[in-house]
Amino acid sequence: MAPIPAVGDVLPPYRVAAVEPDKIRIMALVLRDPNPIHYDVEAVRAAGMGDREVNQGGVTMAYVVNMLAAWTGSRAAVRSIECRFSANVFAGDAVDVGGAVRAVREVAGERLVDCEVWADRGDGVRAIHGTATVALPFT
Amino acid sequence: MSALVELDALRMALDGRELPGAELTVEAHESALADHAMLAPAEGTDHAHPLWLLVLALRGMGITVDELCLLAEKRPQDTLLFGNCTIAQHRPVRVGHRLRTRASVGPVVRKESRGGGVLDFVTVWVEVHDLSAPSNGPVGAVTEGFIFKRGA
Repeated sequence: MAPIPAVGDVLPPYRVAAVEPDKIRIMALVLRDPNPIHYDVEAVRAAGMGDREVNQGGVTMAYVVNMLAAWTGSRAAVRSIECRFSANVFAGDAVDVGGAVRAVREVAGERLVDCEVWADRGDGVRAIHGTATVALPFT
Repeated sequence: MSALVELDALRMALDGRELPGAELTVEAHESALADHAMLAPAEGTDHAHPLWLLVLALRGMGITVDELCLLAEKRPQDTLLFGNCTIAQHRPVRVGHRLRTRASVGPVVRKESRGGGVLDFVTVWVEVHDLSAPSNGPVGAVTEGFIFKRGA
């Protein structure tokens, strides 16, 4: 990572090659989400949503956090993230996560970097769009 | 088929409603399993993944999502969508620490969809406090934006 990011810098991209259905099932337990579209393909079909398990929107959001943590070097650096969910991600989908710097601020001795962030399905459909702020140390 | 709830009744049921909240802990095994499922590399710290704030918010409303649906008078033909989410992490959530959530419902907003249907926007706000360091303020806050897409 460059020591001082600049407005317009593109964040190092993060890619999930294929969302695994068993990981969706684990997160259904963690989130205590009883919705069967996350673990029962018949329920997905009955809902008219296709024939693959639906990834939780929060987990796709977690991929965005992973990108920010990889860029900054720590989870603690992620100060805020706001996401709008616009499309479902399904088991087997690739997910491409990206971001770009929109502002750099100094607040109370910290360098805060505001970013635009997104997560696209492998077919190009945008699943998440939002903003995030990370704190970077002065170097 | 039941009728769509009137907006005034929906607001009466939900606007500003304080939810019970809860006391919770991010257990080490759950943190490890969630890291695995979220494809998050281990950090070698006791810092939980920031998405745990959302997990704590969902677990810590003090009511289940099904109970929220009852309050919103969700009918079989209505669909619940998770429309947006904001997570503010003031400090990392620490694995193994006892946490307390405070939760409330924000103002309900009703809009017409592009297709002429009815969308009810229900926002739940949850603040997470670490009981081992309560004087330091909340570790984070989450705004969950639920959308009830009302069927015909």
